[in-house]
Amino acid sequence: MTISQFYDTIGGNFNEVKSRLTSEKTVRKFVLKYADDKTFEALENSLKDNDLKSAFRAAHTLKGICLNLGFSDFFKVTNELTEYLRPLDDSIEREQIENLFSQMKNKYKILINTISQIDRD
Amino acid sequence: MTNLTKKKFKILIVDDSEINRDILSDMLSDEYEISEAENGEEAIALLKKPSDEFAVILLDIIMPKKDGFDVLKYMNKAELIEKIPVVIISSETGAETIKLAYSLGATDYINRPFDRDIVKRRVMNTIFLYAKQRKLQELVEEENKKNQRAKNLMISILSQVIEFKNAESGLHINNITTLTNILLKAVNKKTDIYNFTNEEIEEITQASALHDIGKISIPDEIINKPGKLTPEEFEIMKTHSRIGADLIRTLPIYNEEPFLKTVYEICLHHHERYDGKGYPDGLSGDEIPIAAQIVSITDVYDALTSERCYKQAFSHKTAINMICNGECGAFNPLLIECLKENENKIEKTLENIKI
Repeated sequence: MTISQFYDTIGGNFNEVKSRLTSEKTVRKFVLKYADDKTFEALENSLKDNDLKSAFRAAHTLKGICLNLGFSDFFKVTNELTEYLRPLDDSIEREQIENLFSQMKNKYKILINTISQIDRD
Repeated sequence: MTNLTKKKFKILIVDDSEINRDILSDMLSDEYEISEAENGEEAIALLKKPSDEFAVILLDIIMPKKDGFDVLKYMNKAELIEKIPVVIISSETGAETIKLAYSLGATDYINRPFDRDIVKRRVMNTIFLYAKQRKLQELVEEENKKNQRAKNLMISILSQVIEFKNAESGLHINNITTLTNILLKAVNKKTDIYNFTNEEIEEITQASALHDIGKISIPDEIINKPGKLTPEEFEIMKTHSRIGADLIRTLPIYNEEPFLKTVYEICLHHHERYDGKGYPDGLSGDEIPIAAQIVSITDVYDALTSERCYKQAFSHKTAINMICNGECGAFNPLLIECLKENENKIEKTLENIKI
């Protein structure tokens, strides 16, 4: 799979990302690197421990990464969870977190799976 | 422009995501030297190292341990915010966050997603703007230093004239200014009553060198008499305070120069006593200007530790004890405490200027 096909599959605009990061090579490098990023695991663990503050931080970081790499679909669900967690108070319901997180997890699986199909040099 | 970029400015990238740091580093590493920190705590540690001088900091806001606001607050406290521009790179888009960052001294804001050309341009603009400002600042500082040197020179000549008249060693004035300076800083540390600015400390220190300027009109036989003065001679000696003060006050530029007012106060009142038994005006307590109080205590210390034609020099320790026990006048308890607490520092510093 080419990097352009990758963006079509995960829902993103390759040309937009390429114009910002200036070369296909750079985009490729960072997308491949993303497969090793541990922020999603950090988010998952924080939610498991019910540490909402850390969870918010991790979700927020993830949101920044998605923006930079143009992972539009994954960004949408990440952003939803981030904003849901933001108040960090009693308005937050466990059920809704699970709900938003499972959506994220689906998108994340697709993302990682698709990255693994990108042609290697 | 190329000249400046060739110098390879250092940039500090602070972001908790490695990938985000790498993206920025990738955009900038051709032209700049990059350092990275993964949270506010690491960033502050890097800023504390004197060797690293960053031309700009790219700062994320939401980070574990210390966040971006903590870094900005530290930079304010450490007076770095004026020196190093900070560009916020958070994906926070809420106006409150950005406003808070600006109010803490951030200079610019780069939105995510990062665009290579925009990031490069913003970073370059920020660096040049600050470089220009720094250049101007250096020019002003250099000019100030030159003026200060000229002023110091004139004060040295003047105080040397008085020393010559007193037949004292040149160290006398050095001791007075050094001790005055130490006490001013000690007072500032100990209490909020006076809150001397750096400029005031500098001015009072300089002014202290001129405290005995009135001795110029006291006959040599009295000034250098090897023994106790007769009551009549002492009355003449005492006039040096007012003579010195008048000499300063009648300068045509007296009203335009606040510095001269300080010199005037010190000349006139450096022989007042805290209990009101001094001269010439018999002022007591805080009626005596604080600058004069400080010079008074330093003058006594210096007289005690110096050899005179009629007495031997006391040791540092003895002199301090004599002052604290009230054997040599009455002083503001605050100044006595400052003297005691800085005993070692005073001894060491004065020892150093002798060499």
